Formats: sequence, structure tokens, C-alpha cells
Amino acid sequence: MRDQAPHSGSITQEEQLLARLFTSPTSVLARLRLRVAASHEASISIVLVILFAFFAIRAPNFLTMYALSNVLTFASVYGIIVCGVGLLMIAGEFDLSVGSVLALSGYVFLLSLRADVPPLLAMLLALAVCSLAGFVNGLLVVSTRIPSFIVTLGTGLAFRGIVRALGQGRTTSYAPQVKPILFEILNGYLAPINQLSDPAGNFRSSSIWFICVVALTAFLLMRTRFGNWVFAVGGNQDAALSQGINIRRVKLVAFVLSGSLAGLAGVITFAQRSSMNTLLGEGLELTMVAASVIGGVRLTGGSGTMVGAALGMLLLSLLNQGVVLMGVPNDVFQGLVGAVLIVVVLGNYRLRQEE
Amino acid sequence: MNRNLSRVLVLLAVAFSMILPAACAAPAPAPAAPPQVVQQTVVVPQTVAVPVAQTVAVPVPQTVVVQATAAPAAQRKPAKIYLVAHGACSWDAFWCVVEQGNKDAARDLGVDLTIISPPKFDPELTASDIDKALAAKPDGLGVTVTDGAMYQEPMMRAIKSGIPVIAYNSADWRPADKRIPYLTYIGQDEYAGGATAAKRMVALGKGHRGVCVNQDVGHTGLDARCQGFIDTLTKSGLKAQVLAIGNDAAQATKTLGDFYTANRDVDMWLTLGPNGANPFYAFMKNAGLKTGDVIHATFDLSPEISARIKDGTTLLAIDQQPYVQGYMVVQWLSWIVRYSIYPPLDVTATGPGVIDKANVDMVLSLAGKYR
Repeated sequence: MRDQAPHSGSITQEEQLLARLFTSPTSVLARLRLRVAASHEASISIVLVILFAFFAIRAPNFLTMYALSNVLTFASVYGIIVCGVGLLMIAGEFDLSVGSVLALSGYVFLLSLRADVPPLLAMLLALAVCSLAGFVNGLLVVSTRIPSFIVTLGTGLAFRGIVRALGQGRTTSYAPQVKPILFEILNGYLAPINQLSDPAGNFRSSSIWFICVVALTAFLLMRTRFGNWVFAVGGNQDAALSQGINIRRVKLVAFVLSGSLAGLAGVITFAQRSSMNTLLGEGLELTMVAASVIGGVRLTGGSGTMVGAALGMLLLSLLNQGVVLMGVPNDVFQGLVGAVLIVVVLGNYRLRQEE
Repeated sequence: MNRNLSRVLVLLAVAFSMILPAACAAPAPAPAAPPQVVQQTVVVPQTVAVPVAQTVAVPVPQTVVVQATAAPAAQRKPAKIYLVAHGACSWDAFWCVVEQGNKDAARDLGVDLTIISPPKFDPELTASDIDKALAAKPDGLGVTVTDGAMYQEPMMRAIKSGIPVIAYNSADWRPADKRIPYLTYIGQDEYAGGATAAKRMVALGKGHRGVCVNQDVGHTGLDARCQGFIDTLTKSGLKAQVLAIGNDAAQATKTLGDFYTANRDVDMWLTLGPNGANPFYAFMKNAGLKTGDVIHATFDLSPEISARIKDGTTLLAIDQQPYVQGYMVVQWLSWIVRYSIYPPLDVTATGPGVIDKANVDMVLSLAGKYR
């Protein structure tokens, strides 16, 4: 076909090629595939749409405000943590202490409130402690050069030990006469929206925080110099160093961000439940890594988006609500997550090959 | 290269951690048998008083044959019942007996039953499971209330929307004016159970210091068991404390060993179920402890616990009759949905009873399925 194309004086060869690209159906498909392959969220979006359609058809009551609001609500708190974990993974590091930091945050918040510290100050104290925990993680990683996988595994156990000491082997709750307004701001029930349907939905203000955190971290990653440094450090440390990027500082900031976001998730969780136990967040770390990878964050660093990571968490929540509505035993849920993880990662791998 | 390798290992660890528990999970329940006229053998209990905190009837089997006619499914009002439990048979043998009761009741009564439980003890996840269950618009809801404060909001949402709600196995232990207004609690008085075990241990006159081994810290019912144990020992002038172990058997055995190394004078051990008792037996073996070296009591039964009561290693087991809890929660909810028959009492007691060397033979052959 290319050989048959006439070479007229008025139309250049490039113009002809472009014309063919825009008119040939196979070329349009190829361009679409290229565009999809270039997108970090392609795999997760496709799987999300397929799963949504599947549950919409097969799971009774899935297309109700209650079920759909549950999906967003239960993705929100852990979605906030995923943003920190995902950003750190793009910078080439892991944080396996987030589950313990989540519980630490809840306990600092709870014990401060029980000591009559004003709620806002108690929250700031919890966030400060968790930022410090992130700083300790970062400092240990950049100063000792021990892999973050090992360092944060160790600090995670240490933070859990502190949580157990604070918890003293029992459940502790906080039941004031009047619930602080801060609790409503952090994780309040959004009655005006929920009561638009019957039965009412389960939207909560935690979802607003989730969306804000995704937007802010996405902006930080895609629109700031720090974001460029994160990609550079995670993609190729030597090249980043040769460009004058302060790798230690970038990693330290990413660890602090991860710790403080886990802390924010902790105070938001406590604002709803008003009760703490030492098991909160135990085993959460690998779920966070799984959500990030499902969302297109590259395990080897240097690639990924915050929107993708957030969609990864949303997918896990969708899957959980869907299997409950279908009456599938919860034990099967973990198997499904594992299967989805492998399918999406394989999809990402194939798309990147095409790219 | 090493960095990439470690990341691949992390990915594999993530994938396998997701898949492995599912692979080890208990098989799905068999489909419900169609209702029909059956020749059914029924065990009629004949009550005998045993020394317990609240005297509970222990059945002596006597077999009679009766004609039971099950109503055809078409004539029954459909009943879609959801149960949200904090434990599961796949990781805690105690729950196999509860679930057996659930499934038997669902089959006998023709109930569309869904049981939701977390892959490990996780009160936060269980609380969110209540909301996920409510999205299915169930006709009735049963919840094991391991933390009243934490479950308050989703359970109140169910109650306010008119769904009949029953607590089973674990109750909201807060004062009556603060507790969640569910219709009844089917289970045992946990504090009394802990106190009963402690009294029997103290009565031996050999113990010096006690420990309550808690595998589910965060479960207020288990906290109450430990409190009953500790309060009773303290009143007797003995020291006692709580030791948290978790549900991982190997880790729990190690924790028990470490604790014993640092606290050799502890000789009164209370475990709170098979997930505490089984690691305790492994710890005893590792530490070279023999029957009679320490006093051991436990909550709940399993084939291992029954065998150890028989050989004298374990003094007693506080029995809450989990099969009854599992059966009754489905039964009551189906009666409420179909016939508007409501439980008359706030507490429908299923224990605490005591199984010791004197009556263990009665439960040995039934352990793990019905006892």
C-alpha cells in the first residue's frame, strides 16, 4: 500500500503518513493502544470497569446508594495511606510500618483526649508523632543504607510494641457527653447527601479528605520540582545524583509524608469508631503495597501515579463489597485480591511492552 | 539486581499472602437440602446440675424417635439473614462449632444465610463488614459484638432502619443505658466464666501467680474473662496479669515460652479458647512441663482440649455451648422475620458451664463439631 502512494509535489511524504494514520482504522486502533499503554491507570481502569459491570449485573443491591457509598467510604481511610505508600514506592522505597503508625496515631489521639487535651491539639499531637515516626524511618534508611523493606519492618514491630504498651492489653474507648465537632469534620456522617435515597447511603466526610489527599499528592508529584525529583530518585538514583538532586532529602520527605498520612488516617478512623485496640492496622502494609501495584505504581520505583494508587484501593473496596453482596465467603476475598493483583500487574507489563 | 530481586520477592509475598489464606480456608457450605418429611432422631436433654457460676443444665443424652414434618419451603416467608462474626472456622477451631450450628439451622429452617467474617481478628474490619452486610438489605442481622463502642454506629443504623438485630457469642458489655439495643444476646456471661475458672484454680490451694492468655486483645468479651479471672485471684491475695499472644500458633507458642522464661513463678494459666490452649500445650512440651507442674484452665472445647482434660493436664474448660449460639441466632432471626416471635429476655444464656474430668466423656465424641 505504501508503495502505491503517489508522491505529488504539493503533498509531502510526512503529510501522507499522517493522513493515513488518521484515516486507517488499524492505525487509529494502534494509536489508541499506544495511548492506553502510555497511561499508568489503563489496566486498573479497565479492570475497575469490568468488575463494576460484573457486580452491577450479578450482585443484588449493588447499584444502590448504600453499596456504592460503602465502596467509597471504606476505600477512603486506607486510600489516604496508599497515597503516602505509593509516593514512597515511586521514590524507590517501601514503608511497611504504616499499619503500626496508624494504630499509634489512634492511641496518641485517644490518650490525649482522655487527658483532656483539646481535640484539635490532640489531633496535631498525633500527626506530629506519626511524622516523627516517618522521619525516623527515613533517617534510618538514608543514613544506614539498609533496605527500607527491612528497616520499616523493624520499626513497624517497634511501633506496634509501643502501641501494645499504650493499649495495656485491652480495648479503650472515648465516650464524652458531647462528641467533639472535630470528629464530624474528620469522619462525620454526611446526612444531607445520604438521605437523598431510601435506604440512606453511607457517605462520610472521610471521603472528602481522601479526595483532597489524592489531589494534593498528585499535584505534588506531577506539578512540582519535588515530584520530578521523586521520579528521578526512584527511576535511577545515579542519574538523579549526577543531576544534583539531594536524594537523602527527597527520601526523607517522602518517608515523613508516608508517616503523616498514616497518622491522618489514624485520627480519621478513631473519629468514627471512638474505640481503640492494639490490633488496628496489623497486616495492613502488604494490602497498601498491593493496592499501589494494582494501581500501576511500579514496584521497582520511578513510575506511577497517585490517581492510579487511589483507584487500586477503590478496586479492593469494590471487590469486598461485591463479594459480600453476592454472599461469597470472605475467605475467598483474599484469593480474589491475589488473582486481581496478578492480572493487573500482567496487564501493566503487557501494556508497557507495547509502549 | 539485588534491589530488583528483593522487590520481586515483595510482590510474590504480597500475592501469596492474599492467596494462601483462601487456599487454606474451610470449604464452602453444602447446599441446603430440600425440606421434606423426615424420620428424625432427637436428643432430649435431661438436666443435671453441675458446679458453675450460673447453674447451667448439662444434657445427659436419651434417644427417642419422633416424626418431624418440615414445612415446604414454598409456604415459608423468605428469610435472608446475614451474620457478621469476628471469627471464622478457617483460622479458629472454636468457630467451626458455631458455624456448624449456623448451617444446621439454615438448612433445617430453609434460611438464605450469609456469614461474613474477617480473615483474622480485626474489629475495625468487622465493624465495616456490618455496613457491607446492610447494603444487602437483609431481613435479619446477627453480630458478635466484640466492641460495643466500635460497632455502635453501624448497628444503630440497622436497628433504626427496622432490621431485627441479635448479638451472639459476644455482647456489648457497657452499662444497660449505653449498650446497643439489640433484641437479645445469645451467649455466656464472660466475667462470670473467668471468675469461675479462677475459683476452681484457687480451690486447689497450689497456685501462686496467674496469667490470662488473651489471643484476641481488642475483644471486650475476652477482656471481661480476664478481668473476672484477675479480680478473683486478687481477692484471694494472688497476683495475676494479662498476656497478649495473637492467633498465630507458632508465634503464640514462642510468646508463651518467652513469658515463662521471664516469669518462672507463674503457675496458674488461663487460656481463652483453642487458639490459646493449643499453643499452650506446645509451650508445655517445649518447656518440659508435665501434668501437675502448672494449673491450666481454659475457655471452650476442641478435640485437643477435651483430650487434655481427660489426661489431667487441663483442670477444666468453661463451656459456652457454641453450637447452641450458632443455631439459636439463625433460629430466632427466622422466627422474628416469619412469625414475629421475639426473644423475651435481654440475655439468652448458653453458659458458662464447666467441663472437667468428671463429665468430659460426655463431650469427647462430639468435640469439634457440636461441642
